[in-house]
Amino acid sequence: MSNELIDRYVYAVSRHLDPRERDEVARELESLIGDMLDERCGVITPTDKDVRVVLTELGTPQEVAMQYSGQKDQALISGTYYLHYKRILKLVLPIVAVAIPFAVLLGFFFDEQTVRTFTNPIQLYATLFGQLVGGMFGGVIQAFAIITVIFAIMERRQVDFSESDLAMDLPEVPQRKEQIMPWEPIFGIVFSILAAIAFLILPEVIGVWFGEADGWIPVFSTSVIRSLWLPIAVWLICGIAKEIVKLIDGRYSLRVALVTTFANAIMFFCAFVVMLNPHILNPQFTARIEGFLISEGILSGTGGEMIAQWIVHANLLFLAIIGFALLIDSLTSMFKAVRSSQKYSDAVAKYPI
Amino acid sequence: MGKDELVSGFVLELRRGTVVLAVLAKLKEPTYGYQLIKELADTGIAIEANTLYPLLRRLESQKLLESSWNTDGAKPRKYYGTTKLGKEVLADLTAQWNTVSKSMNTMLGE
Repeated sequence: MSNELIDRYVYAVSRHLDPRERDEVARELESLIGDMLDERCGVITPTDKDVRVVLTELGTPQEVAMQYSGQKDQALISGTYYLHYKRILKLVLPIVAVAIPFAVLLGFFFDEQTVRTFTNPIQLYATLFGQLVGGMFGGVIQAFAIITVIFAIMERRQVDFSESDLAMDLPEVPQRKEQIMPWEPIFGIVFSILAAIAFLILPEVIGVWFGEADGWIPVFSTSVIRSLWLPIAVWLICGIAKEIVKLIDGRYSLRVALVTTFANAIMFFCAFVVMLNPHILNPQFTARIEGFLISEGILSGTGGEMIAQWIVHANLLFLAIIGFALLIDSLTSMFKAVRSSQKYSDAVAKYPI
Repeated sequence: MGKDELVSGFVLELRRGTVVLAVLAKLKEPTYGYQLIKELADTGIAIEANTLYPLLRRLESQKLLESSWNTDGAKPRKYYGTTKLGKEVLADLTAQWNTVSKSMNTMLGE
């Protein structure tokens, strides 16, 4: 059966389809249309009108193509993914909307040169306002785009969310202690972002005020910190990743414990790389601390000398504190996960799903 | 939304749930798409070609059906039949169907 109208129709359908299946579907459709025409006309040769009736019955090319490509796959994000997508957007976008202007504000005032170029305060505030609003909208749009892309990929890859689905089905809510309130991870994310901003963009913020004479002395050497941007960025990513898993699961699940421990291990390694850099401390800072301790009479005698030797290794102290905090965090999450999973299996045994 | 629209929406959902079972059951004997539409229509299950043909392809990609072109007749036709996996799935679905229909009948008969 060859007919201009049929050829056009089949083409109109198949051009919407995956190139790999176009030929096969075209052949199938031609065969089907032939059968439908036979049914309608029997041995009589079908007219153009018959063809039109049959094609109308079959549906518009778009409809047929939609059916062939599977309606579910037409949506970028659907089903369970959409539920999680909405939840994450609701949580993350407000954070970004607050954190970005805050960062802009900090950056603006710490960049003294920018401030000095404005003689007129109205002009200064207008520019600042513009940067705040621009930064906020830009940040929100970027975050929206990134989350959408991540979820679209998860939808395509069919990443399993089953653990949190199980949580939705369970009759008993885990005890309050094992639950993670959304504000905890949100606070964690905001803190991570602010800390990373402080380190990467404004390392001089971390410092001590030594009175009018010496002013503000940064603890770390700015240029060395900036050259170590990679481990700091990895630190930030790990910090955010573990909080996102907490947000998704909403309780101390085994997955939260594993991700937290793994992320903490990487974070410790990053801290190790940064803090063990021999030039990380600002020499001015260590000298000033030493001077302060001597003037107060604390550094005298052999004990004092020992302390003086240790001050130049204050970075090791920072590393130890960070390591201890990360260790506590890992242990706590594991402990809570074990306790929570016991309660879970009890609940499941009591009310089988 | 009127009552009729509501009912036809629910009926559509009911049919959608049973069509895979019907197709797998019918295709124990391999046949081509249009013949299958007619056979299903004869047993009271109406399904449109633009729904059935894509469904056959989907079930084939899920390895429940296998197909081959038959060019012996006046025009080429694609024959579909259930695979071994398809038959196993059919058996499981049939058991499920029997359970569901038994409970539904008991309940609706009350």
